[in-house]
Amino acid sequence: MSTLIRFLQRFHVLLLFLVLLGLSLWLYFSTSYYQKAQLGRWVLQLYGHVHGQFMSLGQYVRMRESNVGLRHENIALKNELERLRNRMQWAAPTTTPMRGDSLAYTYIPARVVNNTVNRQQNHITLNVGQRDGVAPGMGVVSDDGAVGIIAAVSAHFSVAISLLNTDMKLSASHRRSRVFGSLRWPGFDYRRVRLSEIPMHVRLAVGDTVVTSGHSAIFPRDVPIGTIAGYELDGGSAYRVDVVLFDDFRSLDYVYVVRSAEAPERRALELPYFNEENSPNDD
Amino acid sequence: MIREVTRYVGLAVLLFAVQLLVLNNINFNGYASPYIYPMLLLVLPFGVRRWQQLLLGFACGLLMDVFMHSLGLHATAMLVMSFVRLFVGPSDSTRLEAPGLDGGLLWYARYVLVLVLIHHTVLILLASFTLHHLWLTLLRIALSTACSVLFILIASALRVRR
Repeated sequence: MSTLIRFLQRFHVLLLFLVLLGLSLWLYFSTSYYQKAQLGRWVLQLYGHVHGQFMSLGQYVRMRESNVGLRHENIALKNELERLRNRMQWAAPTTTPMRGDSLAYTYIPARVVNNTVNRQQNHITLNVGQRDGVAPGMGVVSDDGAVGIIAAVSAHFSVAISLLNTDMKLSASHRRSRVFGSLRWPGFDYRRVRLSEIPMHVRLAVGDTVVTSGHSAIFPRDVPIGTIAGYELDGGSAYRVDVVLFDDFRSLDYVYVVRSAEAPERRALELPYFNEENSPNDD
Repeated sequence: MIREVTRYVGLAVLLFAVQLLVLNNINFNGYASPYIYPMLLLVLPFGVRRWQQLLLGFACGLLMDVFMHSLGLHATAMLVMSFVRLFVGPSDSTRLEAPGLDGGLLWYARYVLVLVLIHHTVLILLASFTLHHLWLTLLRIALSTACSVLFILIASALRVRR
């Protein structure tokens, strides 16, 4: 017994170090990136508020740029609306809406109050929360393309896992061929992501567009992601494609949270059949 | 004693605020992300009990983790740095209560460099958790360390002048 006590007296610092090291490594590796983000929920309220004040300065500086962007988008939407109206006139007698008036996707406008691009696991804080109808698992898009997935919400704020997160995989497809693969950020350049598992028979070309596949009901189908910058065979059976993002994640400001009316029903139905890697659950 | 503790807590709040509000937004093309908050442990007096130093380092890292959504990452880096610091003593020429620039610029700069390098190596290797692109990771460690050391030295100089 006294030997044990002497041993403890002698090595208590080393023992404490090893115990704490074990604890921190266990915490790091046993929690998913999704759970890590959820833990920050209680600081979100405070932090989002303080940061919002701070960031408004930067937003003010970029106001002109943002306004020009919004105008362009507005014009594009107006044109699209006219085109659709025109088409509807011709199509109206023969088609009936499939689900009454309800829209499959609705968009909640939001602004970025905090955003990082310099880590391996990046997150984005938005100024919308539960009260605006945001819930974990919803997608986030900007005018240019897919941005991330909501992980945690408080009353007025929410945290999204950025596309620039090495732990996140997203189902994306090559628009021309509709073949889908798995999209992931390799963790280096904040403008480039990698699309893998594209089979060899698909004809790729530099400059082709990569879009969301819509398989996960988080994002609608065909949300733009980026263009192909290059590709190479990966292990002889599939292509590994280098994709340049449309989004500039360093200047993200106005974004939209995508609320899918079908997602809950679809998820419940698909649960036993698909173990989707890109649909976070609430556990 | 009370005054020292109050000053220390004030420094902690200041360093965390600077880290979260300013430095986290700095990023040189994804190659360097500076961290100033490890300074909190660097300026801790050598006289503090060793197990308390370890616990404090761990707690600082864990708190940073909560803010950065990286549970365990900063805690590990800070813990390893605190442990290594236990084997570093004050400079020979001057008996120091707490390490700072008044221990001599050369000694203090070397002391900061070595410990920050250890912190960043653990942090960045653990975050990328791959040995692919090893050169890029090493470059990132080197550049981040250089930035962090610079920021910590500037902050230390400001502290001395006050």
